[in-house]
Amino acid sequence: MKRRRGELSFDGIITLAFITVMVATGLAILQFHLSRQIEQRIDHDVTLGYNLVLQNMRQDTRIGRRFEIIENGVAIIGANEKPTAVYRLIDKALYRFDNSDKGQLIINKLEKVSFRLHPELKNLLLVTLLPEDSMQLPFFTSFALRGGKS
Amino acid sequence: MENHIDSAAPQSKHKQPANILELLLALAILSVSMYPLVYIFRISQAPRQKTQTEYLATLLAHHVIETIVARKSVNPAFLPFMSEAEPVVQSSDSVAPVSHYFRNIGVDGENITENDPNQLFWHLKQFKCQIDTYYLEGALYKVIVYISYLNEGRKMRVFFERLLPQTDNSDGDNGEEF
Repeated sequence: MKRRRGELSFDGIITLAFITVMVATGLAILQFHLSRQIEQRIDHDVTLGYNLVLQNMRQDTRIGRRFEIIENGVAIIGANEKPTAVYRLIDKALYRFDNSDKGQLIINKLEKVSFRLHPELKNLLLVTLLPEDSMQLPFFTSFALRGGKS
Repeated sequence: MENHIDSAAPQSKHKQPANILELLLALAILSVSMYPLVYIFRISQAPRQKTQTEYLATLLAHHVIETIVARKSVNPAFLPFMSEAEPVVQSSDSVAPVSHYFRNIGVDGENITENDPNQLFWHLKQFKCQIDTYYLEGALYKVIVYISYLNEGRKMRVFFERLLPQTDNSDGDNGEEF
């Protein structure tokens, strides 16, 4: 029999479609994998470091009962009068220390860090972070102590 | 031989429309099978990068909510009241009062002004804070904090919501401290 040229068989089309779907699946998986690596780009986007400050502070103030302003930082005191976490500026980088005494780098390349209590509310901590690069936005927000309530 | 050619001609005419139909069917299957992949691709993309202004507005809204939580913790009867859009820093070119939640929070215990040592003034000058409140059933009180700013002439708003319990004010406190 003479093979007809210029036409694909139905099986051929289905095979082609299958290969296309497989390639697209691979691209989707690659995209998903790349999107998971966003945490490693802290140096390039200051807001990623700010998000870490937000996450850690919110977690610590949820169980904290008292703030204690210390030199170059703040301590969040827990129920047993022991520090739940201590935030300290060392060499223009903000570190978080917990009970394990192992410092965790939260954000670096900071020009100035300010931890202050609200003038009326002693259970509210005002946090200001100024990055080295003055063109970047500063960080300013507050954290209220929950003391394990909510 | 002639018979063979004669018999192939009608078969070809019959097969031609069938192939187009098959092609369309394959394209339909391909399109349907691609939709989940497009969906996966879309949701796996990095979240939309907020502008720095939008991010700072979110931090300010967070500050207001946390201030409300702190004040509620000190005085359980406290309920914030509604307010118009008010500036968050004290500017020499504006007579509008600074929002309650941003008063006296400067390093010197005053409002944030142009001389603020933390250099926040120019970053915060563009923002305004507005509070909306609603009484809800079940002794709940809803607070919505709006932080607004202008972006290329368009008014943009970031908002946070929080539900607060309404406590009994039997001691005569009206709950509004400001």
